[in-house]
Amino acid sequence: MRTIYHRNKYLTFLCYLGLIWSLLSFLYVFSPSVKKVGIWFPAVLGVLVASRFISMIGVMHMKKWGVFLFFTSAFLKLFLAVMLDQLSVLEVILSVLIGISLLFFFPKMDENL
Amino acid sequence: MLFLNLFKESIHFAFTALRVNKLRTILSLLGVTIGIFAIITVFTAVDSLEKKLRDSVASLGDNVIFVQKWPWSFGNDYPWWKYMNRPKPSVEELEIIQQRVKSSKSVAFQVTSSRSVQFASTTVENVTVSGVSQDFDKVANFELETGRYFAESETAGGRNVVILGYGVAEALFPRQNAVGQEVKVFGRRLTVIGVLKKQGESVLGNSSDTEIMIPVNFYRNFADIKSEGAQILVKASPGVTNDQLKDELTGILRAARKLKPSVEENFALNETSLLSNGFDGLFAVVGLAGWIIGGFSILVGGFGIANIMFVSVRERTNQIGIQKSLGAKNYFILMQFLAESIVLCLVGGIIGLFLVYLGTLIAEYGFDVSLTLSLANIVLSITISILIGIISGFIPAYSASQLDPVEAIRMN
Repeated sequence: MRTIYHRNKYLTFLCYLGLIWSLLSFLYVFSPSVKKVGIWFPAVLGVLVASRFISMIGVMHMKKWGVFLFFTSAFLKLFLAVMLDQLSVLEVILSVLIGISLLFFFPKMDENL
Repeated sequence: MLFLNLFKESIHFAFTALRVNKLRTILSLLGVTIGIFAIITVFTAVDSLEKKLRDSVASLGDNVIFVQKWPWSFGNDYPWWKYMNRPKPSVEELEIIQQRVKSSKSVAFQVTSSRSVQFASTTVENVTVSGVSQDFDKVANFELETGRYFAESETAGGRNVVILGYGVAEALFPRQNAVGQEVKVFGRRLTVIGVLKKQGESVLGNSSDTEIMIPVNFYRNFADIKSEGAQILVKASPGVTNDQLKDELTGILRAARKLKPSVEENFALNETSLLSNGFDGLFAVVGLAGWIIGGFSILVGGFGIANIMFVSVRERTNQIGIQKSLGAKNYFILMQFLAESIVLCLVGGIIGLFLVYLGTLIAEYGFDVSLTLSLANIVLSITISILIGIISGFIPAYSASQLDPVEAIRMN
């Protein structure tokens, strides 16, 4: 027997928020200020933004790998921001808010790909 | 190894799918092409102009203070009426600075005007004639192609000798050595003792190629050395900052001009950082405009790719069903469609990049404007292409990978 949990409205809202956030961050990836940091920095930042986008798709499908990917990408992005002294308060708040909410729904999520 | 084989197979699938629908492929990658073209064109133009400007500013010397009448400033609120009646820097002030300054060992005077230079039947018009003092070679950044700089006796005695800029020498003596020849300036004959190295175009319009140098004591016999183009150049000694030198110069010049403590300074101490700072704002605005226009083009292009990928998944649902029923894993189906999307965006990006490169060639050979497509911009455009491929292709690819094989085969 296999139980399928459907995502609730709050999680749906968080997923859309995360997707929009990722798309806007994608624009930031190739901004002149990011380009000035270094040749490879836009690529690294871009991979993290794409990972966050993919993690949100995973969460939308109630997959556990989505949560894992979200935490990994969020942690790496925050680490990178701290190292480069470019930490944004909004980014921290959004990451923590979405992260805590995802942990709440995590036990009901599917383990498969 | 298995992963690489799967990846190779995914790429092969992607290329086959793109070949089958050529028109649809071209139309859908147009958005990415235009986006990459817009962003990289602006970034290339801004980077090239910025590099040129930095080179031009560096040629003026970044540890040199220019004592002038007018301050270098940008913007609309420039109070020019305050500076109108200021006295111009003079040779007497040069001597005072030379005697009193401790933070510098090289101080020079320069005055410029525009004149014609003649040799036999050839005349070069609008040449910048610089009357310079002895230490000018220690303050300004220039190198000699042939010949030598002025001897002390030549500058002190105001001898009729001249150093030609590369462009002037090329125009007057196209196939012969200029050194030792005589040219006419101010209606007088001057002996050429040196030719400057080629500098090329300068964004600030201060290229030494169209300039000639003569001793200031010769210059003063034929032109006013208290003209608008007069300036004193002071080079900071090693270990002395520009601010320290400016403080010292302020004290010396205030004393020399007998200014009371309550009276505002009637001279300007300019430095090259003022120029680069002024242009930084301009480049930031141009870069930002290109980023916004190109960024939204790419986003729209990405939506186009996502749309075409959904159509592609729909068209090949039966095929996906057969593949899954024959044992294809979810991740293989996911990779297959993701690879297709990435390849599509990468092709679009490379075409955009090629168009930018073509544009730089046209600018260089057609309009003599040097633009360089840098490695940073190439890496950026390929990165953007791959990322937009991943972002726009992931949802259709993931939905394809989640299809039930039985339902997928049944679907018409």
